[in-house]
Amino acid sequence: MTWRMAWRNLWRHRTRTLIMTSAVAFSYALFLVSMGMGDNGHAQMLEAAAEGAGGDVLVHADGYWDNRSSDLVIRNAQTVLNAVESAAGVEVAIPRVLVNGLVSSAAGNRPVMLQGIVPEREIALQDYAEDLEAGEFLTESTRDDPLILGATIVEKLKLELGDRVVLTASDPEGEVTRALFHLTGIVETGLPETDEGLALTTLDAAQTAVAMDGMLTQIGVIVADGATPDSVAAAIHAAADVQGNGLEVMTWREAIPEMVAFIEIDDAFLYIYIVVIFAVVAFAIANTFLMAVMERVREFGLLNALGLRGGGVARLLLAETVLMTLLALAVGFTLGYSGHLAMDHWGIPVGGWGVEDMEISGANFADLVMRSTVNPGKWIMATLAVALITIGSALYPAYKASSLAPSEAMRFYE
Amino acid sequence: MISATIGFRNLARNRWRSSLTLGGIAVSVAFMVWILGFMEGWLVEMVRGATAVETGQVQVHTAAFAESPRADRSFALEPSLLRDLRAVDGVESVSPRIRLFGLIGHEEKSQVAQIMGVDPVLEAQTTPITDGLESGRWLTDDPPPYPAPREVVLGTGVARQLRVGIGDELVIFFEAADGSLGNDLLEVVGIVRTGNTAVDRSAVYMNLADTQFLAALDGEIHELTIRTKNFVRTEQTRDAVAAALGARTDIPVEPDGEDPPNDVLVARSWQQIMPSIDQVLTLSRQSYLVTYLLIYLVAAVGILNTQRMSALERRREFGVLMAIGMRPRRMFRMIVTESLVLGTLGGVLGTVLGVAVTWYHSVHGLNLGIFTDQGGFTWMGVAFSGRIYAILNTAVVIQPVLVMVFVAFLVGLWPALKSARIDPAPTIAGRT
Repeated sequence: MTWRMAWRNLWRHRTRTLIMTSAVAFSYALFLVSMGMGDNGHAQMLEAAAEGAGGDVLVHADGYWDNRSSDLVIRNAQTVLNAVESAAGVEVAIPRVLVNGLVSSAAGNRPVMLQGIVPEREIALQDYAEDLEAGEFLTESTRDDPLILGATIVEKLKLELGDRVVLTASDPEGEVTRALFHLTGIVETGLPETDEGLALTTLDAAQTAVAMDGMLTQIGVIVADGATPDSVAAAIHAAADVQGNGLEVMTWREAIPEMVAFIEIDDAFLYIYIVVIFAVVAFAIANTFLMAVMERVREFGLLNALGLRGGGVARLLLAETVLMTLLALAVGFTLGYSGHLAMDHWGIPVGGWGVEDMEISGANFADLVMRSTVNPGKWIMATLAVALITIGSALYPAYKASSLAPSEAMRFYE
Repeated sequence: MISATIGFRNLARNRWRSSLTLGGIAVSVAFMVWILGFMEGWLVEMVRGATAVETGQVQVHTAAFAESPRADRSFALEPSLLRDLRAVDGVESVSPRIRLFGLIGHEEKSQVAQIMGVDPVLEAQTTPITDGLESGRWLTDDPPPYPAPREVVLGTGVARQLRVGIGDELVIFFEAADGSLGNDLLEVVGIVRTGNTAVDRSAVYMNLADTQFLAALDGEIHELTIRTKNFVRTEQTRDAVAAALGARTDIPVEPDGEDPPNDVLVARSWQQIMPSIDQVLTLSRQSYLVTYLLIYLVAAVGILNTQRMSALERRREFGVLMAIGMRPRRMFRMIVTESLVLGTLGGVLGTVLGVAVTWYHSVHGLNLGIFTDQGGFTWMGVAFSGRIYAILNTAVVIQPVLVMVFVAFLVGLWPALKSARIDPAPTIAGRT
């Protein structure tokens, strides 16, 4: 009975109902979309951070990460790699040889960090092949001394595909060695950092060049779904003889604390932002509701005079509010979710605003595209909070309406 | 004027409603002031961190060096040059430098370093390098003669990589301008942490005279770094410097892809030397738009609904006003005025609130440590840690309230239009 009356009441004041529903629905939808964008930025940062670090979990010879010293290498590489791969929660283990050195041509020399990689495994983290500007990628090359360089290095060294390039670097014994490579590919990403510094070769070629046969600098680990970097790091600790092999195992959070700091600060600002948006939404909704109920005090007085008890009026009003809230949340959710889908589908590329370089804590965010992500927990919280505000802001007027004597109520002028 | 008075009274008649709307507007405006204040704070800090130590605001190189740095791409440091430059309008101080890449290290470790040959006095005047001293001291103007080891000040990252401290000896190697190999014995006298990651990770400061000797560049330098008097007027100072030196203000492009000539000087502003910093500056200021859009959209929906609701609630009142002869045009003006008054009052209130909070943060700073226990982060090669200070300038204070008044005007249009179009008779009878 109450519910049917309430439903009819809603449609008897069509304009008012529409205004109030749209107020709640729009505010709620905007709230959802801003949360979706914020959470997505956060998720992308985590991904870029792990990618920049070289994996979710990193394994090196003990002390390598702090010193980057060419003598700190994983000596019995195959045993360690097998042990890491067998650890629980490891999706892929990516072996790498990293060499700090100079590449030289007749035109000069440039400092690079040469990465000897296994392309089939590296692709799980990032695909260098898709940025290949000219030549062929490591997987297609038949040479045993292939070299892929960033476009800026190639330009500065005045190189052409097929040219000989000399790498000068220290081997693990501290001897300075020189090795010959042939330029087989050029990568151009538009990111200065990559174009000026990228040097890739195969793991075998890098090992041969700096006398590191059977040795590795780094094993980057990507964790499987459901596992966390911390749990995988612990599993690797247990599986590989960390002490005996002289290893260090670190999660990306331990490897790049400055990125973690940025993400945490960014999170704090996102949180403040959400609270402010919510406060503004709350003001708008509470206002509209209070107004709509106050306008009807006389109507309630009449109902009261006709024999509907105070409690009945309050119940009717609350029933109306609940119905309207459900309606508004349904419309708002549809709008907000569409907004989220649109944002996620098209996205706003940061690079499209004329930025080539956006370094934060060592990672480059210039190729970032702003999209949207649903965090179910947050969305449910937001929905509950909005429902609470709307129903809460109807409680006071409902109480007021039910406590007025009919004669008073019918003479009520705000 | 009369519509303003009526608008004001209408708002005052319904206090709780008006104050809730004002509250929503005030919170949005206050938040915008605060956010803008902090963004300006970050940006200024970032630009200062990126330019102060390494590039200054204006730099002079040969065109060839500017395009692609090489040891032999130097120019003569005439004694009159510094004196003439200091006389240029807007120039605060000038530091001549030698810049080379080389290897620095000891028996066990070595690393690639950016060697900066500087005049100790002029460098300290031009850049805040001495503020960054972590341990030891800055280079002396009059170092002990050979065979004493040459003085060197290391970036903190270099010192950590090489595991050396004050008093330790290092050897340096690099290719001199004539193709020979320069090398010398150094003694670490100081370690600097400047907050500029490029400097901290790879810079090695030595006496100008020592590096000129080692690089076979007697009387020559690679770069002049200029600190300007006024940070904002960088472009004008660059033009004045270029005029004084007969230099260009951009790198000439050679038709055949060859490197530009070495006998032409180029004066460039930091925006030209580090375009990426300038881009980020532009991007960040553009991203204010997105923040405005999101926050003010929510506030606008709030005002719009309040105004529509209040117009709906008062439709009979409006009907009577029309019946006794009020013109639709005036009705329209009256309601738009109400929105404007709401926007302005709420905006002013929010500005006061926002300025108060932001002012507190501009004086005491915001401790980043309360958000993270990781120390700090880097942005565009500049380290941020500890406290960040907001900046209150005219734009930060004025812009949010102005935009809000405009938004209030826009969202006031629709309810005003609807109210101006009501038909008195059925409205008063309640048959709408």
